[in-house]
Amino acid sequence: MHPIDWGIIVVYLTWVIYDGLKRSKHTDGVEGYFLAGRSLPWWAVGLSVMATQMSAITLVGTTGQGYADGMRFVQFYFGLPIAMIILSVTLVPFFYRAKVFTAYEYLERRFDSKTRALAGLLFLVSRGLAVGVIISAPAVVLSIVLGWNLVFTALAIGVPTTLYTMFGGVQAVTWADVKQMVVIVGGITAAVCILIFDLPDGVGVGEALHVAGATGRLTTIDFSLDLTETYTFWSGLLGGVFLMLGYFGCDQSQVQRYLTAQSVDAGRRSLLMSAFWKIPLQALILLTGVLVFVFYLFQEPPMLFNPTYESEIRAGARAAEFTELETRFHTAFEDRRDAADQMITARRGGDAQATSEARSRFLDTQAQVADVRAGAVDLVRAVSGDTNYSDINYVFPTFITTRLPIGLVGLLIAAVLAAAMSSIAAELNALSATSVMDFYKRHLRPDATDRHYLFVSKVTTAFWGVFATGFALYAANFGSLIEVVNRVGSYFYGSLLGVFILAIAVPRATANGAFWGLLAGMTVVGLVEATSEISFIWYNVVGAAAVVAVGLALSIMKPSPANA
Amino acid sequence: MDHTTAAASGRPRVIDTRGEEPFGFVYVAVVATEVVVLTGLWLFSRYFSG
Repeated sequence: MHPIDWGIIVVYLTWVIYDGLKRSKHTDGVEGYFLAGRSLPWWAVGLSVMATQMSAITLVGTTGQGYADGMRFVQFYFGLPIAMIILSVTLVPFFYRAKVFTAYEYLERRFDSKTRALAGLLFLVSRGLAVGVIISAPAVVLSIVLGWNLVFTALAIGVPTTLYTMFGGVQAVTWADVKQMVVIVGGITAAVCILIFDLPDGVGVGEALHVAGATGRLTTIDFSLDLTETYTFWSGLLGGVFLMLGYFGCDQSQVQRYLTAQSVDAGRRSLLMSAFWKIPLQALILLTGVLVFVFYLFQEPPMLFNPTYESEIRAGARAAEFTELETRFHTAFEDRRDAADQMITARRGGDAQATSEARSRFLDTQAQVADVRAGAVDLVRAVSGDTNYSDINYVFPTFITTRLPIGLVGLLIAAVLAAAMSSIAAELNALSATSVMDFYKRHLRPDATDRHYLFVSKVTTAFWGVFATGFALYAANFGSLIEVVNRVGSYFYGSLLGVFILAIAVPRATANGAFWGLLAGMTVVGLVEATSEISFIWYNVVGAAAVVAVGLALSIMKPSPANA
Repeated sequence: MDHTTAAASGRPRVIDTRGEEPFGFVYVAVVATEVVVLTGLWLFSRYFSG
């Protein structure tokens, strides 16, 4: 990487830490540290909500998904605007008026301490591990693509984030998020401009998109009713509503964002910002991936974007097989480029028959390229024993480092780091809030001074930062661990949403009903996952429904004295 | 013990639209924007994939 790019990254990291700390005011008390004294403007909170949701792996994974599979992933977010409206008239005013520090605090007021403790514990376990993955996944990708040491990369992400979160509290997190969103959107926009500018002479954007569209990569809406398909209109709209309600309504890392707003209305506006912008932003990121696909139609890409095992294969017994695949890949790429040129020329000529034939030939050559790549992936998996090997997350970072001009490389790497840091900081702050308010203050030291809790909060933030960075280094060597952690999250959100539905919408729900309902909900999700093929996006619906059904049944069988 | 009462819990309104200003128009705008965005995505998909 060029020294100018290094300079941009160093300046960016320094700026985020310095400015985040400088803007942190009145953090001499716990309310200032965790909730910014409920003083932040809605637009800053809104950008923080969006930055928290967009991790680095979302950024590089989504562009990779656009490259390999197209834009259908955008359907995943179709339920988000509806979920935001529901939250604006239910949980946002409710949490804000309840003056709670954490979402789980309310569960004790409504039910009992064991329900609060269980919900808080589930959050700490699932998000504590997840934040390690949020550091680990981009650290692995960046270390391989940039040739950086893995430990150095994980520390470069984890240490600055822990420092500004620890000293500046939620205000540093929020103001850093604002800058990070600017860097992310600026970086993506710059990449799109470069991708369009780099199209071959005479090829228009529309013509290039028609070629990509022929492969199905621009399919954005699929009305299929197949429950095993993750990305359909219905799964996004219905399953997505439950997923987003669970994430934005019950995950402390998001609840804490809108609790920092100046008023209930400011909290509502901050969430509704995502309702307006999230789908267009995701579409832009996916389109970036599609444009990278278009770019590599005319410029030869590497056969595999993840070179982790390449030297091992070249030195091993199957080196000749790998070389042969590379030769076939080169030929297939040349054929595909010619076919793409022919298709563009045929479309320009307006001859429907010629266009149809050119399109068929292009799709045949695309299938050949995909076939060779699949063969190469199989070979890597067989030689390395790494059955999870994939190169999807490496597509965009490889494009950034090998094809962008000096300066933009630094900006885009900074954008990836920004995406990672914004999510990590919010998680660390929320993990600390839950640890201190739901456990330390509630069960260990209920009568200490505010100054004492502030000190413990900073220590706890540092603990979670060290834990997450350490876990990231461990998780980096175990791809399947990342999958396990993500799965824990899918057990958690729907079931927790069910408990909050019981708390707010079911007057006769009892504490025991909520507690056992929560455990039953996660068990049911586990059983559904083990015995059916339905997509994980529906787990949240299943979990919430199971909690409400079991909780309600138990509450009816053994009502509380007030309802008996 | 399972003794929480509705009064003690301070159970909230399920739907709470109270605030400094009405949000009804904003919610309608969110839904309208989503309809426009999804329609745009569908037309985009149809135009370039056909």
